[in-house]
Amino acid sequence: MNNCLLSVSEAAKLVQTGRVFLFAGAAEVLDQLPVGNWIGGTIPYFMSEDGGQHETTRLFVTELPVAQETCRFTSYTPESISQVAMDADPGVLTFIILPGFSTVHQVYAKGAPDFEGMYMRPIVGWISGVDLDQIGKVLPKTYDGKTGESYTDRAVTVHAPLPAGVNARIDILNLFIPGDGPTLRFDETSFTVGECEVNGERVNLADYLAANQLDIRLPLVADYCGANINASFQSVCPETRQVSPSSPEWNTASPLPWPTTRIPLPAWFRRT
Amino acid sequence: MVPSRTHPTLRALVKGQTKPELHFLALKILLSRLQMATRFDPSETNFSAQIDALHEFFVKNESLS
Repeated sequence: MNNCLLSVSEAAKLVQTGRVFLFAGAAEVLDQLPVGNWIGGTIPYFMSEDGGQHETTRLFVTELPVAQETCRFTSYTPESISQVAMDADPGVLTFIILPGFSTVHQVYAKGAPDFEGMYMRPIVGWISGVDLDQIGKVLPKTYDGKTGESYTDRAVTVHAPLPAGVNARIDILNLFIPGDGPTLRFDETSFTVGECEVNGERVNLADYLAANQLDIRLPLVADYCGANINASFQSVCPETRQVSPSSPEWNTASPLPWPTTRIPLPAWFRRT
Repeated sequence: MVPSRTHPTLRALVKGQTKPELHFLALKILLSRLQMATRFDPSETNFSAQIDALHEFFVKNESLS
């Protein structure tokens, strides 16, 4: 049973084997897991063999094919997250989960490209979340299964040594591609966006999206030397005229119209 | 074997003058950032620093070649 949804009792049995796992699910079910060699994060949306699912009673499990006795479980605060890459020795693959919209999430999103060792150590992971209806009411969490602690503002990791001669290769599968259209430039990396530049013209992004009837279900896509990186929309508030991205790394400008966007020049290097 | 940091290919990569098809995600993202950094600050000092960063990447990931 791997990369699938399980009941709490099934997941608990797996934990008791002592093997190393990643869990995702609602807080109410993650809270029921026993301590063990696992990390977890909240989210009720999954992609299973049955397609996209909204699930609040079961957990998604991924078993890591690593030796449990050599793994190291660590949590990071906003102040310590910059050490995450250097905490991993050569030959170690790090799995990380960060609580969505938290300070540590923002620190990581903004600063990770400049963390020491960031391009020398493979790190893969995800951002925990909550039901879309609960955004602003309930905070996403992460779980350190070794201690049983859960956090709203700490990243959790497992640093997993790989067997000798084995190297991790991390890549991205992206359903979207860059395309043609105007170029967007943002002043800074943030969880909210008011104004930006569209083809050099200063506009309010919420107004621009509305005026052009653009579908915000589709993301911006930036091309980093052949790596297509998405930046998606969480919400647009007509009253405040603010746009909220799902992640704060909106330092990339991408052309419109949706769904394809072209290579931008990332706004972070044009930050004033 | 990784070429020395003075190899002209490293400069060409950071300048964006050569655009090979890359297959390593970390290299794609790193190279993009190095190229952007040189556009923001085209001084030779900064350029040299970006080349150093790229060379270090190749040295530390040589085992993946």
